Amino acid sequence: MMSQSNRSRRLPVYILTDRSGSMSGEPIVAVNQGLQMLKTDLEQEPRAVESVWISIISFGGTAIVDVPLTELMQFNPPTLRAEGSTPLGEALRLLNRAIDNDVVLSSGQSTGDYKPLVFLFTDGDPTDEWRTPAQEVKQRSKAKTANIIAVGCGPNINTATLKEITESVLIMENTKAGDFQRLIAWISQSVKQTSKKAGTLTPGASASGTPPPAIDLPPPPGSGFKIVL
Amino acid sequence: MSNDDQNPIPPGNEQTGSKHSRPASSVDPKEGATSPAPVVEPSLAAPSSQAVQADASTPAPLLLRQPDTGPAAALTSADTVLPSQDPGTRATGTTVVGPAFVIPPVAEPAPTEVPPVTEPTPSQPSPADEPPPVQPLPNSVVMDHSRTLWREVEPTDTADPVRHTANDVKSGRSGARLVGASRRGRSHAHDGKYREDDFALAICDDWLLAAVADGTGSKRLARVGARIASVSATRYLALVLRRSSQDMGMAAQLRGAMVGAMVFALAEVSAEAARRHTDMNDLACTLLLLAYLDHPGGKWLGVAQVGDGEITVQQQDGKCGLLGRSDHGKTAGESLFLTSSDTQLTWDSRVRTYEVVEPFRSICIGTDGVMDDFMPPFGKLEDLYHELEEVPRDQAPDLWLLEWLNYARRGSFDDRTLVMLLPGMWTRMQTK
Repeated sequence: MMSQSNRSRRLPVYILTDRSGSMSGEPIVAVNQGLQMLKTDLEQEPRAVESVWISIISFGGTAIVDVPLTELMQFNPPTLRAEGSTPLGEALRLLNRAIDNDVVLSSGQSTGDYKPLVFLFTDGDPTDEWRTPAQEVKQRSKAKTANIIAVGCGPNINTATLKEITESVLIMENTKAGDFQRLIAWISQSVKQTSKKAGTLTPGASASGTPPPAIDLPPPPGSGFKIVL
Repeated sequence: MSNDDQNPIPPGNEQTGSKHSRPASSVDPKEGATSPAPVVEPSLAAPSSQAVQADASTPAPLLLRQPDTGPAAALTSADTVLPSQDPGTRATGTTVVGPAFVIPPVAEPAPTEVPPVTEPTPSQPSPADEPPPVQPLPNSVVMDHSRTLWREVEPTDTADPVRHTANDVKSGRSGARLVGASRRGRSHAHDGKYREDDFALAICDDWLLAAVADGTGSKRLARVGARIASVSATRYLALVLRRSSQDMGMAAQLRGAMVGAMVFALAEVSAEAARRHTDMNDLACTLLLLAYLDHPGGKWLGVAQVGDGEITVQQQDGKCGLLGRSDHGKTAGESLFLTSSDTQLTWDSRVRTYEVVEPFRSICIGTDGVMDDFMPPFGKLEDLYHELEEVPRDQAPDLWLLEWLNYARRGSFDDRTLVMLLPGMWTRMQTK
């Protein structure tokens, strides 16, 4: 038998979701259902079962790590309640700290974890100081040490804010329940596609900072979504 | 497809399994009049066990002397490695080239400790209600579950078929052997894709030659590129190195041959792309090469590497290290490929040549599908060599290796290819 360490290469997936007061009602229900759907869907894919680790960070009043980075089989989607302001900056700080702590980097002689995949949902303007942590996140996006996709939902979204966080911004103009399901399906597909390439592509961020290839995601989930360039 | 089917070496040049015959074209060690090499016993046959015992008390000749720096000092840093640069030193008959066969260290597996997942350091802001991290499941539990999800699907694409496994073994006349095997990974099996790794072995006079290639996952004709690159590189090495001579500066000849083999492989891949009216990048692959001269007059090793995967050695004392220079770390996981435009002016830096002055146990050349499992932070090379201890003893070592490549490991589902170089008996060197 193989003597092996209990370590294996991971694809870290961070989901940052808004649960401020404006999300109450149907939107937060859709988010909770969506997270459940994401788990169910990914569990059908053996590569994801072996390599995907998920973390949930939510923000509404305060920002918290609802789920620290957890392997798919043990991931229990939280039930989020909508309340309070939109402390996006605090959530981004938590994200930066988590990536720095969690992800095993490549060294000169070996490869570490795969490049983290980050999805951010929000429906409004941040209410705290967010520019400083956003710059750090944007730096990861630019250096391609993480794949970060921001999804703005609803009519009140400020595209310029999201563009300060990452290069990849997707806008859901009107949030019908069906749209959100399609978005989750798209995220699931993106995660699967990334884990599929796992054998040959983009292991984690490197200290050297040389950009790896751009992420290869499925086309966005149809009408109602637009990619902001 | 079997590597035997497409042996790159014309039958006339091949010495598979022949330990006793010597074609007239080969260099007789005695002809190397200027060589300080120990006079070799008349017979080049593999040494008998009797010879082993007889030689055991003989003082080690010059060639087996430890490098001056000693192995411990030699194992310091990759930067201090001195692949033989001066081809003439040995031929002058004065000294043995210094630490000519030195292993750069494998990075200490400090990262094998799991970093605390969410334990905040005191200086960092952290909400008090953050849940503690869940203890990860044993890998076996996760694997038991994923096993129910993996499928094994035959490719529907009938163009350029590739067998899901390949294996080959070739013996040089000194008794040194090359053992290779390649296996389609779980991911390609699940998706109904062909294996995209390949390898080729060849024997030419006293040279043992091997090439390993990993077709780039996302490319349409990756498997074709891997096939052509590995076969053409070994063919080139065989053509060029059979004319090499120990009297003419082996390090330089070997270096030239290794560079030439990479260039030739690229040219052949490029020509195939042209024949198919497609972009050369559709055939993108990595390429790892090995040429080992197992000759009484001197043992030489050349390695070359474009892209990820590893070329590793286990010394006689059990220490393991890297011989090649993998590209994965430098570029944040973006492996380089034979066809990458930024590869092509760096050929020379991708070659390392060694005069082998100490015995070694074996050398492995593997694609990332195998080697990443045995490199920090996910494993260590010592475990790889431990696992492979049976190979030299097995009657069908290539089949043993092929079976072994089927090991299950969480998160490791790429194609796997491994070639081992098992040196002949070193005792022959001691007969002075």
